[in-house]
Amino acid sequence: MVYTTALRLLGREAEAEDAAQEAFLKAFERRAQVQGMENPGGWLRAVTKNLCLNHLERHRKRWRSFSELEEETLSEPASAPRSESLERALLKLPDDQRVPLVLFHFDDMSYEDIACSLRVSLAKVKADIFRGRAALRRILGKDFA
Amino acid sequence: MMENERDSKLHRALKALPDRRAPKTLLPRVMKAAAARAEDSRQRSAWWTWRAPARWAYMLAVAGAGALSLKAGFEFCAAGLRILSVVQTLAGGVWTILGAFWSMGGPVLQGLALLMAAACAAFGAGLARLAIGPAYEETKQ
Repeated sequence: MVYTTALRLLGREAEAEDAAQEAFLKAFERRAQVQGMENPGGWLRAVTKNLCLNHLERHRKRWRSFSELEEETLSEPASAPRSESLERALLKLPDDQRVPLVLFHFDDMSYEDIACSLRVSLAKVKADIFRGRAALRRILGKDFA
Repeated sequence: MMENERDSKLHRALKALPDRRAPKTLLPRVMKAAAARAEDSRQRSAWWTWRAPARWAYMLAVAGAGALSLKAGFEFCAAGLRILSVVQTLAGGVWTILGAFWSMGGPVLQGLALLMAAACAAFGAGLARLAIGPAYEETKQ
């Protein structure tokens, strides 16, 4: 769960591993506190999400734009199983579309909360999620069209 | 907020995605980092959280260092007092010698001072008459 959250937000395996390690170390440091929690999994997930968002915020200049990836994403093999190809397509989305999309669909965050977390405008969040969905549909073909 | 059925379908598909398995290297990596961090925090922890032998050794070392510091402080003070008494004796001797010189040469010094004052007065009067006076008169005219 921790690794998956990090991977979906960061989109790169090496960075996801680093973030997951940091989240586990935070849990280790606060183990007494975590053991007494009602939902330690939720806490760990929230910590991971915050770590990833902080990481993304620090490296925002390196976010890949859609134009850099368009050709890459369109080359998704059609034979892959549906969930696998969806996961792969998600990871191939540019950062500025994938991050709000993940926060919206996996973390059930509202557009306003996402805008606040990413420090961008509400309109940009809506547009990025819209474009992200459209890109996913385009990559996945008629299943989601 | 799903705008339409297509978005709902995509949302359901995304939510249904299974978790990815973390790479096998992650667990040993985390364990190693946690052990390193635990060791680091143990080394940085306060002395009263140390193990009993280390705690006692530390307390003994601190007590020993404190006792040595006190002893050194007393020694230093005693040495300072001894030096002070020697300086006081020397200063007393110097004062006595100066007093003796003054009692012997006091009248001579007073005479010399009077003589010097008289010489200065004569020099000033001469200067006024010969140099400053005529120059002053010239400026008036």
